[in-house]
Amino acid sequence: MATKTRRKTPSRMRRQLDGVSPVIENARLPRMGEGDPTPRRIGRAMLFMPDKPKQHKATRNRMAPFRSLKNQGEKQVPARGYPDQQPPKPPGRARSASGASGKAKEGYVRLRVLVEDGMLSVAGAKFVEGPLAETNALRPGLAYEVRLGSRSIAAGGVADGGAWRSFPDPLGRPGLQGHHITEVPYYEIAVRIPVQKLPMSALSKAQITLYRWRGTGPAVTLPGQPLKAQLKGGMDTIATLKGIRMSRLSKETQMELRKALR
Amino acid sequence: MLFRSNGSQLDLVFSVVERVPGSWQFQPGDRFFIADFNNDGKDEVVVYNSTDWAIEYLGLLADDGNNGLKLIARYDDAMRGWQFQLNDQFYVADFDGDGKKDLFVFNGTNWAIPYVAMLRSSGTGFGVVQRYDGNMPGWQMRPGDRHMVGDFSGDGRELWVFNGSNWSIPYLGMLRSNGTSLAMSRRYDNKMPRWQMRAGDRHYVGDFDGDGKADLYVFNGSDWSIAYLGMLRSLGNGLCLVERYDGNAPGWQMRRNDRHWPADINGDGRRDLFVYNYQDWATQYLGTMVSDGSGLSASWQDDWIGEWNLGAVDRFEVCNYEGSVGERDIFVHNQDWFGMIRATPALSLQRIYYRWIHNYRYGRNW
Repeated sequence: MATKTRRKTPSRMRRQLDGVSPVIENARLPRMGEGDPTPRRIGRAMLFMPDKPKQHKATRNRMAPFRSLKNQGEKQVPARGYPDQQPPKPPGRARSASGASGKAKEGYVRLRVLVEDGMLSVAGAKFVEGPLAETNALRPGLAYEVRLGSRSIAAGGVADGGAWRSFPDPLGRPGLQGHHITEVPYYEIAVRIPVQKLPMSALSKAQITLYRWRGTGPAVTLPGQPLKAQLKGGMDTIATLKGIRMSRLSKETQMELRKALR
Repeated sequence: MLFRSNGSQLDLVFSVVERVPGSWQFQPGDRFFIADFNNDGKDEVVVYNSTDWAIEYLGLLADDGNNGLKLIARYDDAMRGWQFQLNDQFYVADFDGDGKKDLFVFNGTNWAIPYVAMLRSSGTGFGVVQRYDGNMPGWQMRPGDRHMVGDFSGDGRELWVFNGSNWSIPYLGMLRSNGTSLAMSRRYDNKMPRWQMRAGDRHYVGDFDGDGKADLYVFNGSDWSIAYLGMLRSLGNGLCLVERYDGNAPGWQMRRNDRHWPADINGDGRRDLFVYNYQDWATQYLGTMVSDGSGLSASWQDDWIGEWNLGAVDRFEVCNYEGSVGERDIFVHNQDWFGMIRATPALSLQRIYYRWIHNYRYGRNW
């Protein structure tokens, strides 16, 4: 403890004193009581809590209905005691497609993710052999990130996502010069995740987020670190998918995903 | 490992490797909640893990009769009426007034709607007595809800909830429990008495006037040009402002990054505050703000507390290792160091350990 180095302090930092004026933290902000408080917009809307909230109508991703019991009963310890806690299932791809080798096969799953009305949904999945060549340099525009809990397991850029781009007419006819970019209402992106990092048992906890980065790039990112913490400049969250739930996928997509993560 | 304080140092009384008999296997993501869940006068431990196993686990560890702990109940993945999830947040409170601490659990992010459940302790386990899906009485739940537990009416059964981020204006709700359900006692929309609520408000529940009802300290260092600290006294069914400090409290210049911990520092039955700031000054400050029921008086030490060099990595836990009245002590720790600081009569370091909690017969602990 005695060898701990004293930190260098900027010259503007001071020491506490008695009997002095309050420290102004931000002169652009008002003091409490100055002016009328203005409600802020959430998105584009003004949201106020109702006095008597109504029941939610959502039916998906709900907990099983609760039934009140007068007598909850005592918790009984199993006769043979509790079993060991279940470790996370290891990545399922334990042998090659040919079955000749017992060595884990390297590869990644490529998810086709549909972006529509600010929502993400998984539209397909495919296993791709070989290591995932992760590009650490991100450019401004769309970028996705896949997280398990607080850990980022995959991230990447999406080139020209959400836009149609026309090319200039080679003959230079009027009205057809230059690039024309059209925003599309829905589009697909490819999300690549190493299969070793996404066991089947963790699908419900995987979170996919699509961002629009408004910084000046390219920027080099570190694997495993959240994108938001690394990229300077504005980042807008376009959509988030919290948990990939098999029951919400089409039968075909379920089969593709099971096959990819087998 | 369990260590017991003899008033001035810590002594090892129990250790296990890898698992507690019963069994509970330790993992880095274990979260602990320590309270008297069976009203035997000794604390038990609730432990929850939602990150390190294939499913979530909740365990109750109790005294094994030999200075140690054993697992007496475990819930794997779910209990009747509640499905555990990654972001479940637990709050300890005796909501039925039977002397056994119970649990509130909230999840605002892993389901389509937020949930709150009341888990009543039987002393040997927990059972869900009530669950709120999306709404509580007079309160529409949102993912950004922040909960606090405090006895604002003096009967020991209350829950506070604040949301400053998901609505156009901030809300604070005071909910009263009858043991099996909650009712909204008072909701503040946008303003409390002489306090304009903001998203950055931080709340500390504690009975600062000693009347048996939990009051509220509110601090905001980020949303105004200067920092504010308010003392709002509970009237049983509402709040009134007793004192508001604008920028300075007596003996302490408030700053944006002040951090507070409620504690009864002088043992007078009133909840005071420890306060720490390592970011806004040329050096670090650890202080005490002692309540006389209607105001605070602060004192502090900077940079060093005895042989402890305060720093950015330090973490604090309010405690009472001296075994005296109140909670006038504070543990301070970081990766390599552990210190025991007492606040009465003044802040002073009583013990310091380096890497190992071991009391050497001769010489220093480090």
